[in-house]
Amino acid sequence: MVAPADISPTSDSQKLARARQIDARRKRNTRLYLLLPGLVIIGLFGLMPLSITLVYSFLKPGSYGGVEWVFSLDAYVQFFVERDIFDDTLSPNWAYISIFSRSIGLSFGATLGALILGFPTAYYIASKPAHQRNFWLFLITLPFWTNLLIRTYAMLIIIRDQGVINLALMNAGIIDKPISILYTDTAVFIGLIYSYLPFMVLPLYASLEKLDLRLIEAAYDLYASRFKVLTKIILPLAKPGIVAGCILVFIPGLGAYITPELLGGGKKLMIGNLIAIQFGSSRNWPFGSAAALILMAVVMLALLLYVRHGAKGARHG
Amino acid sequence: MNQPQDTTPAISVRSLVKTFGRGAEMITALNNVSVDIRQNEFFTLLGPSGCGKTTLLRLIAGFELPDQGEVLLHGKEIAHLPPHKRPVNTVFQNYALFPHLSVSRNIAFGLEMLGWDKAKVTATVERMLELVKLEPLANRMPDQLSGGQQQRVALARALAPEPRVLLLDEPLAALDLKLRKDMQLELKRLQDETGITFVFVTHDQEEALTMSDRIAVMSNGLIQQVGTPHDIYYAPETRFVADFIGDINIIRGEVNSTSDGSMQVTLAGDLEMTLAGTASVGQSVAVAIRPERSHFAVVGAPETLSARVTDNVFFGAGTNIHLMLNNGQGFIVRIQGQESGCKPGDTVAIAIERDAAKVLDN
Amino acid sequence: MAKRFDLRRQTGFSEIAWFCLFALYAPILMLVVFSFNDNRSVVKWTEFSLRWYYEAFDNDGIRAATAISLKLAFVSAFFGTIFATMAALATTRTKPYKGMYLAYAVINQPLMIPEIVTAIASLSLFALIKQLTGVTGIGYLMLAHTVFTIPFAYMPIRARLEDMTLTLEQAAADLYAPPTKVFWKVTFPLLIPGIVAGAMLAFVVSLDDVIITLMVAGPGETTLPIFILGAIRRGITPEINAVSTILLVASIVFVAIFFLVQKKRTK
Repeated sequence: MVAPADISPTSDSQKLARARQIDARRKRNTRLYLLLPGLVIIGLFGLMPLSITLVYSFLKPGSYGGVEWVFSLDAYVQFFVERDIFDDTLSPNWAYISIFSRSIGLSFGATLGALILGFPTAYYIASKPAHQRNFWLFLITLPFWTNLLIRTYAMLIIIRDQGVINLALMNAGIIDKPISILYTDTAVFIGLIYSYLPFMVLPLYASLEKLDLRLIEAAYDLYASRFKVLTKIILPLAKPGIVAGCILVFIPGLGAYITPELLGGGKKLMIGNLIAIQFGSSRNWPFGSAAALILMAVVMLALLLYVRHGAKGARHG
Repeated sequence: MNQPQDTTPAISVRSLVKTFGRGAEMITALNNVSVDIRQNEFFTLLGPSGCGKTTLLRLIAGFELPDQGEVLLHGKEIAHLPPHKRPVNTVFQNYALFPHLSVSRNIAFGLEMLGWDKAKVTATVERMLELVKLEPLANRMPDQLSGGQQQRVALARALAPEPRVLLLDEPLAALDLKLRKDMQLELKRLQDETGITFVFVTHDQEEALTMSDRIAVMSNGLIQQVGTPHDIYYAPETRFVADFIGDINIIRGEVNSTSDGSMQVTLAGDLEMTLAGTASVGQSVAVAIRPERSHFAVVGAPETLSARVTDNVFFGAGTNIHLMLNNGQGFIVRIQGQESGCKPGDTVAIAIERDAAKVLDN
Repeated sequence: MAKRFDLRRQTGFSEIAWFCLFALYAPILMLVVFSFNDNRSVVKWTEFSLRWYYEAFDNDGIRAATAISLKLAFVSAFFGTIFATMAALATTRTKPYKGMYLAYAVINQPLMIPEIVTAIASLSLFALIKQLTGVTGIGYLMLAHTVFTIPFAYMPIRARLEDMTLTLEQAAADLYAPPTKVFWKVTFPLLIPGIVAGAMLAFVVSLDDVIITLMVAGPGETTLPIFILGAIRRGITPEINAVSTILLVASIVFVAIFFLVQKKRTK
């Protein structure tokens, strides 16, 4: 029942307050219901697995895969040091350390290679008329959306001993026996650049496209040469794109599995293969989990550097 | 209820307050605004960007809820209602036509939402198309229309549900000058034909003066003055209104003596005039005079201001003669044509039309 | 005739750009061309033939793998797109609210973690669930795929939403449409291109996934990429080229639809 006292000058402002409340609650509820399914499914099957991995990395391996629920730091220790089975002495575990450093080295090298190829490409696309730009971008992005496995396989066909490159060189008489590239670090290096080049070009293009042509005009007007325009104007302004591109190539490169698997032939392992093997033939899940977490730590570090650097770049820009 | 229906304001805004943001970044968009908009009038909210005019419109439409205050529509409180429950419609700045619906489907949208029966919807849509002269384009999509045509569709769409009040948020801003002039007349015609109350927001003073029955000039979340175009132009009450509308001379005056509602003021230490207003003796006041309401007189004639010519600026329809008064303040006299008969350095006398000088509030 | 001084030109850049384009496509084109070669060789061209395609279609393994791949991609793209659409509606065109950035981070989480880590982590969880409940089946694979399709579907939908001003929805509300009608009559129809684009990407990333599927798939859940990987490990055959070409074409068709729909948006 509405008491007569309620019908007072304040009843309008009460109505208003109520309307505001209802409005805010409706917005909040809508947001919640909209977010819930996505967040729940990613939380349960995206984030939960990661915590399981964290737990597994501190357990002992089960004899037929899986884990034994006993706390142990073995997985992490094993990654860095080796215990001699006869006299129990400890020595650095060069096998794993070298896989780890090879992963970082190859991924870093591929990043540099992709930058050297990707920057001119992105710049060239950005300098094209608008309609041609979209077409070029489409051509550059298309491989990114096609199957990585198939692209790697296509690369394998080309660089193997009986591949077109070797055949062409032999037919031309430049070499008399095939150059063996396949199953070497070089093959993995080439494969990584080939796989992730689009990741480099896209962010570079994004920052170069925004470049104000008047700045270049101003530089030429002030007697800069072409090269000086590149180094003093274009490169500094494209820095956010360069950093983003490098991160986008380095991170998937570091965790690459297919490329070293096919082009390294299972001999030149990278950390991704090492992890996979622990969950396959080696049946050492805790060690695989630990290696995965170490990989993630490196990735997070790179992302952190990027966030800091990116923020700085934005301030300068 | 004992008031006769026809004098109830169409919109009555009471002590409306609206702020955005919080803490140090809080912006007061409306600072205790009250205004009555009469039935069937063409009412304009005029002011520079950020003055609160669009916020006021959005509060009437219901896109925002006020912090405090009331909005009455024909005497009924609506401030708390969501937009779809208010019998007012809006013409948006960029028309906001639904790009996935044809012209006639756009116009029919509101009618369908109100649950009108099909025959009535069709008939109304046809009537609206006729009203805005777009019958041949009924099945076009919005992106196939010119800016002016889109504008007409937006109008038809908002008028179709026969709202009590039509709100127009700078609807002409996106049109080019020629089209804008045509649409000004068109809007006036539509308002006359439909008899709906129009509340029009603009920052263009000329547009406001041309179209409105009454204008509210706003600045800093406050209404500075409400009045007819004539009042606003010739009798600005505040310095802001005087400055914002057209060119105006604002010169200093000293109050010599006062009597009931009027006072003797010496302008620029030179000319004594009797002006309406109240102030204390000895106070310095700002006096506004339109350039076209002052003229040259014979040098030395009584009741004139003497000044020295500094520049002649021809602007097409006339010439502004820039002068410097004895007290060092600038002054502009506007004449027709190009021949001013004076050159920089000349000494001239200025006569001011009766009632042309207005004392400003501050 | 003197060449006009081009402000933007840098020496050698166009050559590098063309080289990159060539290098990106040459291997793929080789693979496609030799899938039509009437010969076991994938290097020496003899004659045009569709025999490897016939053989691929006759292969029960390939047929089964294709069926599984399609089923998986449909289910995960369907749910992934729905969840992504809902999440995009909740995280765009609004003042930042408490937890919005967290929600944003969670949605994009699958993109930030190396795939191999996601793969073994999912394997670990699913193995645990299987051990506890005894439930097996393709459901696990569907769940894993749905999780990583969400951020891919989310991107274009979010972009589309951010391009849409709130004015249209306000216009609808002004014309007496209650909130649900505003959504179904205005927001949703305008969002469709974004949703289609998102669904295409989701479908493609699910169809092309190798690593997560490799780890999570149980027996009898071999998808097409996993089948191809196994075949490559056994040796190079033109039959693989044929299957690969089919998968490539499928991806390209979906991505092309994505681009076309996106292009409409910018018009």
